[in-house]
Amino acid sequence: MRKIFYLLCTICLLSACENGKITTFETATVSPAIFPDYADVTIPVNIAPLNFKFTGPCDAIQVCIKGKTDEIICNGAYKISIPSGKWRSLLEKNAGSALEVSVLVRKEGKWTKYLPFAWHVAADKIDSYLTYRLIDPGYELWNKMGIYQRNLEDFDETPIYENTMNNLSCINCHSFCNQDPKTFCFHMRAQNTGTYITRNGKTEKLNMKVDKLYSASRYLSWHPSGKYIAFSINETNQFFHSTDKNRVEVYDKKSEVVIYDVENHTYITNPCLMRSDAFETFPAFSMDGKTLYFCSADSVLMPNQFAEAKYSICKTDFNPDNGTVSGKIDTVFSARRTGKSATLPRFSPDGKYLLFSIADYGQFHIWHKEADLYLINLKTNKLFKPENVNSNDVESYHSWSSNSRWIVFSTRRVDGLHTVPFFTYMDKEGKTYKPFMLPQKDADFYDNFFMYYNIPEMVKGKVDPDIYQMDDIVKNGKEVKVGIK
Amino acid sequence: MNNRTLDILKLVLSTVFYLALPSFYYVNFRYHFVASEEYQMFTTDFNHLKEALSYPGGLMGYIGEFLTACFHFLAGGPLITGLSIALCGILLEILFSKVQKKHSFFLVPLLIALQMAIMHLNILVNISSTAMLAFTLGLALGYVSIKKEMIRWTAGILMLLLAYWLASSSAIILFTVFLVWELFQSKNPKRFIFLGISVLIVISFPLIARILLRDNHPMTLSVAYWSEVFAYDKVLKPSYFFPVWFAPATVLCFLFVYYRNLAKKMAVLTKKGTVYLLILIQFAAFGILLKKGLDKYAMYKEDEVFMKADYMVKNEEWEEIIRMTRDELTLSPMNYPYINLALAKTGKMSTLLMQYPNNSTDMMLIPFMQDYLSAKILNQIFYQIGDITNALHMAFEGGVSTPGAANIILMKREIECRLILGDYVLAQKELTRMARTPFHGAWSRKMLHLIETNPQAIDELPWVASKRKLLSKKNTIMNFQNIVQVCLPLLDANPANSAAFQYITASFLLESKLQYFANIYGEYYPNVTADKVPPLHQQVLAAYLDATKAPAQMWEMAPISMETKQAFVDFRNTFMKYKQENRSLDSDFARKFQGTYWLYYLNNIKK
Repeated sequence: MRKIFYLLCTICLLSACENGKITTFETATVSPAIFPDYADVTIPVNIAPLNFKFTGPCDAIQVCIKGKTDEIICNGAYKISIPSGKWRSLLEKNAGSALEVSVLVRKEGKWTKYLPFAWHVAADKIDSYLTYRLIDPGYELWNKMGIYQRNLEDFDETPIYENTMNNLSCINCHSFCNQDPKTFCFHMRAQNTGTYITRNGKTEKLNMKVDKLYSASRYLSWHPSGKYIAFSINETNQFFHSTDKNRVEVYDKKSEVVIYDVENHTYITNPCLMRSDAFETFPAFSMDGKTLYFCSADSVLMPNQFAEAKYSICKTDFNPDNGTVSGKIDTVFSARRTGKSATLPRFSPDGKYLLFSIADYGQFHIWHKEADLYLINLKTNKLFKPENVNSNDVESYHSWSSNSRWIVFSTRRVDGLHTVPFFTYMDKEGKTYKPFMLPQKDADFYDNFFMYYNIPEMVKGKVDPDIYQMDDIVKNGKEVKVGIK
Repeated sequence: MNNRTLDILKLVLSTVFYLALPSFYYVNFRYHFVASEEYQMFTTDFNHLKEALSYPGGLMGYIGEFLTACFHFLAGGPLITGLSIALCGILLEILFSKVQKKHSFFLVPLLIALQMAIMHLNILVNISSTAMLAFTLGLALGYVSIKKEMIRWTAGILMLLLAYWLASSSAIILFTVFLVWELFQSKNPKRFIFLGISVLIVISFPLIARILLRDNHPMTLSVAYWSEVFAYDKVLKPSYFFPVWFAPATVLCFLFVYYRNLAKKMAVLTKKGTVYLLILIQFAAFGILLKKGLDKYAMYKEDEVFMKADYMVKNEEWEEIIRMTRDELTLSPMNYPYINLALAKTGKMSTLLMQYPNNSTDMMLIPFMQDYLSAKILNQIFYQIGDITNALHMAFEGGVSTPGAANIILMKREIECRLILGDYVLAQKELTRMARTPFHGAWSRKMLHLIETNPQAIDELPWVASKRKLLSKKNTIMNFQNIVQVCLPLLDANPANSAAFQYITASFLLESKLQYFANIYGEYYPNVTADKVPPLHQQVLAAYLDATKAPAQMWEMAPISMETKQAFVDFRNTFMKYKQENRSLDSDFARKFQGTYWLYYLNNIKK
């Protein structure tokens, strides 16, 4: 018995020694090749651990994450899994400063230490949840999909709704009012078709199709009060390029913007948002609720003139008392002047910035490799490209955290096809920092994950109702027919 | 007839059936099983197993997926399916003999095995359903073998939970065995407590799933409802489950009761008469099932023809396709796109087109019906004619629309397309996944190695180099449903693309667009001589010259042989004669000019 005890102690001691910091190594003058590329990124103080892997050949790795007063040492065969508790504590103690990350790699018995890099820990927190749709890559058909919420402080992912519960219907265009998990909307197509709006603890199933409008509602923006939603009505098609790197072009044959009065279940229309000589789409309310922004392009013959469909960002005054617009249209970003096309305007919650996507033409920029994110400082009206954010591939679908410090956007920079969410920090001066990929528990996750992340939206808390309650409403909820003014 | 005679008869029938079944499958349906390989993406990594274990029925699905992967080999499917069914039959036999020692259930296990054999003629029925049954029967055998009641009941509760989590709704069968065994074999009154607990567990299956899956990944939230308990994914539909599981379970109970009590209680028949009656009923049931099987056989045989053609296309055995379809007694319309593809690839479309019932271009580039089958067929056509972009598009759509969205064959096709298009980053990601599959892993690892160490070597791979030569160079907005819009850019990029040329010319001649047909020849083969032009095309050119009242000089210059000219003159003269005599074109006329383009053209313009 004693012998067994001593043996166990020896094994423990040896293990402890093996977990100790490596002190004998050669020094490399290059940075380590890691995936995801988390070198020199700026992270929020409440983010989940940034687990990564070394992508070169190796037998073992050791990663030392050093803060002001303490450090975490992680070992692995080629990837690391940072203990959550120690990570959280390290971040909290180092909020506002940088962590030094050293990667040591063992190959053929020899350890090599690469140039260390930094993790800048911003004191500003990120909203605790990220919502998104997960869908298989496809152009016209779909299989399983769902809207999910991921806790950004750990790795927990749960469904808000999944189409396996509804005969593989299409679920799309989820949107939250002011990042409020209790006020949101999404559409469902194919079975139990409708728009589902949750407010004040109640979910309504709405039939948004009215005779006077040629399609049901599509892209949307909540009014900050939660009393209105601006929807676009689109006749959407797509075609395929034979050789162009932008494989698909999704275009509108026609589109309009309408206002939906949530409490009265009525559309409010205005001719200035429904011009026959223009395509109006992608509405966005300003954060004070007094202005409606939208994208507008001169109507051209589609699809033949697809490259001439260039969208400007326009605005018009909005009256929150009755849901009407003034009809006076101003241009914020001119497609004619710039020769480019803008889409998806999104306001920072503090009202200081307008973030949108610019590409050579069109409005569905996720299929445009040249699409980049741009910002307008609403105080100075200066247009600028955020530093460190864009890449050689598409950046599109972007949204803000509730404190206006973090931006999440979809990008295909990793492999050119699968969209993944990246986060970038924007400080009070409007400077942006190198973005980081949504962290996962397993550093190999993205190698084995073949779905797209669509429409990443941050929310302040966990979404309510739960999936079974939602399913009950989808299948048994009474449908409310929407009217039109 | 005593028990021993019945036993011998049963043994002979069972042995013949179980031994003959794999051979029957191989001879008649081997291509159906090979086609099933598409409906899975089994990988050997631990994460895949972990995922399978995280929801009810996942493990059996995992085993079924692996077994389906083995259908990669032509003999794999028949052998595995036949042996699995035999295993279930034998397990049932042993179970029945333990349940009722004195009387033989005679053909009942064989009836169930026969039903399963018929069920597996449908490509959408997954081998995992058989795996589920085998597993559950194994557990049931274990249960009935435990003599001590408390141990048996405790084991039974655990088995029920285990059966539900690993084999999903097959746990109902286990519960049926509990019911039968405890009601009729046990005398202990406490057995009702055990049965009551079992009933509660069965009713709670959805709740168990809901609790255990709630914060887990939401792969199969659908099992959290009673209506969905019987279908762990869309491949296994309740319509298959109910007759397969509940009917024999009910029959089992009925027969058990019947055998045990009937002789005692009924005065109508003697004991011997009862036995004979039951034997007769079983033979009748066997006959009915056999008839049902034969009806389904005829139906699935037609599908088998298509799957055989699909297999030939995958292996590029074009001559075999042409030969095969001529010998088949019935031609499935689904084969026509593949027949046309084979004709185009062998250059025989220009000679043999009229010999097949091709009366529209829909059978060449079939309409995309937004379903798996049309995506799969179109993928093959596009790939073979060199439109790799659209081949990739259809591989995508086919992959997404496959039940379970996992399709190893189309994944491989996606990779091939990406390598041809030079998209190595994405190919690498997909190859990394494919490298973990049992039978496509070696190819994947080889490609991965090339990408990582010597990408230039990929350019030299024959199948890559030959397809790259066919790639279109000019970007167009294309309607990929239009054969001309698809093939013209390919022809522009490479005039030697004979398959594209065959398709375009066939399209024009089928649609009687003689001007376009002539223009194609003028553009790509302006100086061709008659000996190089297939007779059918010569006929079309002759029809064109006649329709446009071309001068004699044009006739001289056109690549039309003297033979064809004379044949055309004969046709024209005969037609004019009929016209002058005011005669309608009769069967004599049709017979004389059968197989010629002119007859087709005449019938087409009449429409």
